[in-house]
Amino acid sequence: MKKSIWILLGIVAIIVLWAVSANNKMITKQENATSKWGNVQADYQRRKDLVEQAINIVKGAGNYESSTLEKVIQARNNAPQLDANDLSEENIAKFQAAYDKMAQEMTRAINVTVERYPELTATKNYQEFQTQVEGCENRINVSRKAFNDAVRDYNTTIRRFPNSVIAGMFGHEKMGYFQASEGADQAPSTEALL
Amino acid sequence: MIKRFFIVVISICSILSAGAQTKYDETGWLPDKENHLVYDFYGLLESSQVDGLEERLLAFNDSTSNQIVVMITPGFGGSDISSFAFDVGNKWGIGQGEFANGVIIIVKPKDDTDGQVEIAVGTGLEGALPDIFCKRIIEDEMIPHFRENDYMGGINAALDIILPVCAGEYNFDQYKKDNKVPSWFILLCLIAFIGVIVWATKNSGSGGSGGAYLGGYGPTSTWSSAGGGWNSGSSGGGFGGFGGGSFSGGGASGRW
Repeated sequence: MKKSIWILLGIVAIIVLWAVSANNKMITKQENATSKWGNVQADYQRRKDLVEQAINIVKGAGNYESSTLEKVIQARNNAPQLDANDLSEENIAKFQAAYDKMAQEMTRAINVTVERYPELTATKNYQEFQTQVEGCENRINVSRKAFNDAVRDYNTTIRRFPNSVIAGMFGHEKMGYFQASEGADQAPSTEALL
Repeated sequence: MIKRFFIVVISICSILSAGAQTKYDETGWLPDKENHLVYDFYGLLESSQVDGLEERLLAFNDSTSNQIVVMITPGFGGSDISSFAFDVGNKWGIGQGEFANGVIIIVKPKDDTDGQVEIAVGTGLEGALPDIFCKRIIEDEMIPHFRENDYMGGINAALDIILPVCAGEYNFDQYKKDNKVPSWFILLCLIAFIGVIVWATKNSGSGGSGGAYLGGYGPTSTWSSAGGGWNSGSSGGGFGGFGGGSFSGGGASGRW
């Protein structure tokens, strides 16, 4: 009688310990993914800052169509921040789409300007800008990949039985990934600018 | 030596089978890391050139702890040169641990297709080698040599600039300093030491000398173990190996 109670208590204690450690593991992985999101956000912010430069280049060339610039500015203003707590598939897709639109409008504005002023491509400003666009896109690619890896790790953990039971109890939800860009929202390549 | 022989054989095979899609263009191809800094999958350089370059980079690694890898490859595993460079840097862990002081230079010689070059910079050296600076090195130092088929000249011209810049950003002394025993640990040892002395003087007599000896022993052993750990990282004749990584997208690329 007394012995069986002890055995039962022992089993319960083991289960509780396991649940706590499983939960902690999930939290660690989630935090890892969230911190990777911070890098992603920072790299997209970099792209936003580049738009500022693009606007200056277009303005510097003079005699531009104001409608082109308005589109760029509007796309930039529509590019949102995304809180690390709302990282669902849908929100990430929206986030990505908004920034890709911004980059597209930026490329278009620059292209239009270059068509009018081909000599612009020889200026130092323009060449530096190009290098920065390239570096910015590289950084976005790398941080996106790192984020996806971290999310994959976390999602796999929470969906595996018996971890899934704990995940359900403590409300650990699946996080969203970045989808591979389709042709249209491909990052603007610098060659496209030339 | 055998490894290098294999690389040469593989490179020759790759040249012979040029035209057909080689394994270097297969999606997902990523070279395995080996214990050296120069990789010529293309078979472009002569073995004496490879040795000379290896020696230069190894000496630089030993004296400054900055790791620079030079790779000449016909393909990028189906990816673009930049992504390929960052993947190699991160998977191999080029650079030293948290310092992320690695650089990888990738050259794809011009043949039927365009020549391409990339300088990928680990996060620890992005301050010394900003993207625009890398771009200038590529356009002004490397590509002019490459255009004249002087690949060794181009690589050396780039290294002439990169090495001193990296050495200034992050030097050996700093590396040693960063790897020192944390100050709280020294403080702890000091308190223990004083404690032991106080205890020893209170229990004057035969215990005194024993206690003092114990106290003296603690810090000495910590110091030597810290030194040993650091030594295994980068001293000795050969290359100590990779162990860092953290390439987040810094650098630049060029085409000719």
